[in-house]
Amino acid sequence: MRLLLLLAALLLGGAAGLDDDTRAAVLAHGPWPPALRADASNRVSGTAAGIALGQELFFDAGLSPDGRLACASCHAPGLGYADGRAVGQGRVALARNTIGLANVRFWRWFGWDGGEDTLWGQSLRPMLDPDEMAATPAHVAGRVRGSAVLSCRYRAAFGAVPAEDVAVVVGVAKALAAFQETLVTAPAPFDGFRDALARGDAAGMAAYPAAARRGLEIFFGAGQCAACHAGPLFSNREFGDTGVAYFLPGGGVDAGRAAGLARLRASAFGLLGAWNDDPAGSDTRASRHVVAQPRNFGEFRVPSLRGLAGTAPYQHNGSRADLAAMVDHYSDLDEERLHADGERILRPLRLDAGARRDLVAFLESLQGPLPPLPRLEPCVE
Amino acid sequence: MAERGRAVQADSGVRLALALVVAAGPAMACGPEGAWRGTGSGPGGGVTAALVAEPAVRVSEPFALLVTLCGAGAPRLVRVDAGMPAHRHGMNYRPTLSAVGPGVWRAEGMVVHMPGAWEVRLDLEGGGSVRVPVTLR
Repeated sequence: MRLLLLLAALLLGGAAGLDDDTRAAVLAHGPWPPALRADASNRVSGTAAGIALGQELFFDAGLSPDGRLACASCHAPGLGYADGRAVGQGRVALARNTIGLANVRFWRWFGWDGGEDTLWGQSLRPMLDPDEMAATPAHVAGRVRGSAVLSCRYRAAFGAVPAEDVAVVVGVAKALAAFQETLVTAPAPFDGFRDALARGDAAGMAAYPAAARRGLEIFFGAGQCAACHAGPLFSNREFGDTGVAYFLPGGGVDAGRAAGLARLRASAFGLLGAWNDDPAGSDTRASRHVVAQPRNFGEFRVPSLRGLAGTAPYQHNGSRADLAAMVDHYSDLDEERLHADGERILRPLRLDAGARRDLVAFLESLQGPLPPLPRLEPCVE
Repeated sequence: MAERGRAVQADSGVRLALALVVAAGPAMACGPEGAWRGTGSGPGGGVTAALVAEPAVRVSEPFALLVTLCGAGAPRLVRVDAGMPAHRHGMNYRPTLSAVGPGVWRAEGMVVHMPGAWEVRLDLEGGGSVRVPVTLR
């Protein structure tokens, strides 16, 4: 008994080795997952029929006029719903890395530049983009009307297939969003540690790998990574400049958030537009108050550090091959490449080889599995 | 002599304490208890501000600030902004103001997107400002 008490004291001492700030920060990065709330702007969010329609559509290459590209062509389930490429491949090589869809429901702004403020608005964009699926509302609506399965599921979700083509394609986008909202990763080893810390469970904390624990202390301590990678999603859901080049291969520049804000203002398919199913029930404060600033040029979203498994390479242009390369980027940061004048957020971490491995181990401990795809039951009317 | 000296020192200490209370009085009386507070100056002289968040501030979540201004000349609020002095950046959002009562305004659409030390800047009609430090864990 004395030996057990001594062991417990030693373990608790190890856990208590977290200073108050680090302890508070760790606790603030959970619990996982956050509460799941339906998207009020999307009337089929969280509905079984909407999700089933969305899953059917997600894998349907018939949404593209030449039948070659489905959503799943670039967002492959086996690759974290990304594509494993540096940049996406639509009808042409695209400018940006394909973002994995894990935990996408928790975002406020969508895409690398945050050009959409709804998941259904973001789901609509690549369908109609001539460089991606290159569809038109008429084509998408025709596809739904001409397919017995799709039209059955559409009626199950929405009650009827509208006569207006744009209304049909917005419904398609909303169903796709409803399906993507189900892609939530399970708790990761970090969450086991975090929850054990919350309940004072020394044995639970001791189960966390030592290398990940050392990496955790770098992440929340000297690394100050949580300044941007904050909260349960490990992202503050905003944008920043991390010194990654924004020049495009064929010439020109990727304006990042600046371009996204311009697109947001011009889009009819968002929280402030007529297709929002419940404007009064939607939180539109961010969309109403966001403001364009000069530093937005070349800023890109702060990615979530969850759901990264299988989605390498990283950064908006896919220029970092893996997590080790990401850690190297921040450790050896070239401050001359930071283009947001005057900002002093990032500095090179100057980690040694062992600390870099520990930080990678911590990042790996944030990865939980995605749910398996359910088998769709036949649509019966 | 030593006791008188001690008596003189005690008397000075009391007077200093009273002076501090008097000086802090207007700040302590401005706005609700527990508010973040700061001082500055406006067209009419010294200004004290008291800030209360609705709901409580969480990183990257929208909130409103109830701003109370106290000072000579009935200072009026015209703009609210916030920044992180150590990082040299501001918010990504611009709040809108509405008057809710004498000397009280509501700034809607605040979002602070990082934990740490922020400074809320309150610009006053006719010139001048108040800065209020706010630290978020």
